[in-house]
Amino acid sequence: MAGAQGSVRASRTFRNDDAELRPLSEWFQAFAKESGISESRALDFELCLNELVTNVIHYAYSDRGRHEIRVSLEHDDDRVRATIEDDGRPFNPLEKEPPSIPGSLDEAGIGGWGIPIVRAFTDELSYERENGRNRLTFVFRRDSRPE
Amino acid sequence: MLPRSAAIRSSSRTERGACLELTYEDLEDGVRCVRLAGRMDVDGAREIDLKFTTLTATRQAYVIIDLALVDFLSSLGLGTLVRSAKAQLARQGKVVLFSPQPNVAKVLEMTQIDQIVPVVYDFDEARRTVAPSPPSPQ
Repeated sequence: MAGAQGSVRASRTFRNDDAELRPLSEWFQAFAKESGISESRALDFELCLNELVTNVIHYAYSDRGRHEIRVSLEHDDDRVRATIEDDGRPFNPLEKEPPSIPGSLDEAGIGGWGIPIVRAFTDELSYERENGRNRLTFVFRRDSRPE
Repeated sequence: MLPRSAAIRSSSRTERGACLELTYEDLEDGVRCVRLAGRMDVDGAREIDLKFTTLTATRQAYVIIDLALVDFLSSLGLGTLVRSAKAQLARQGKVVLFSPQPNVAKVLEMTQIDQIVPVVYDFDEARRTVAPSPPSPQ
């Protein structure tokens, strides 16, 4: 973990394997503790991180090969930011039509809740495709979540 | 209403050695209480999937899903809960979610699942909400 001018940064690479999701969470929790993110904010952020990396693991690759997913974290006085990079097929989850809010249990879908959860929790969410890599970034701003 | 401790009939099993633990009790009023404890993420949802589905979805049942000890609910875990509630709707049974922690309640609220599956914080209310209706007098 590196810190400079009031910010704390960390990055780590994970494999495209569900078994990496708990190490991802543990790594983030250690980062949150180290950088003084409140528990409730950290839980919300961890959920978004988990959802987006799960999406990459499950949907970014058409082969069964091993791929690396790079996760970078940055926390400063104003915000917490995560960037998730992968070499999977181009996929902008923000273009995906969100499921409509179900009017009844009968209409409710069982899946597709990941991106709506991330959209609801994050203050900023963006996607870029560059040099054959997907890059998703999301931000929690401090001022939108009183501690 | 019988006291909670006296209403436990017999069935109580635990899936141990898992990051998401599942226990259940069948109560005297025909209500089944399924208690989950741990992380309901990809691994957790898969760990309990078969047992949870068997207990909550394969036949008509009146189910309280106790979330008080669930400290993380991902979209996959949410799907597991919705699937059971939908199965009970189709079977004329019922599912109620009991006492989620604040971060879990927030997920239910933001996805508006709390509008279509009851979420309650009082156990007796949960039992009243989910209990099968007594037969109408002839």
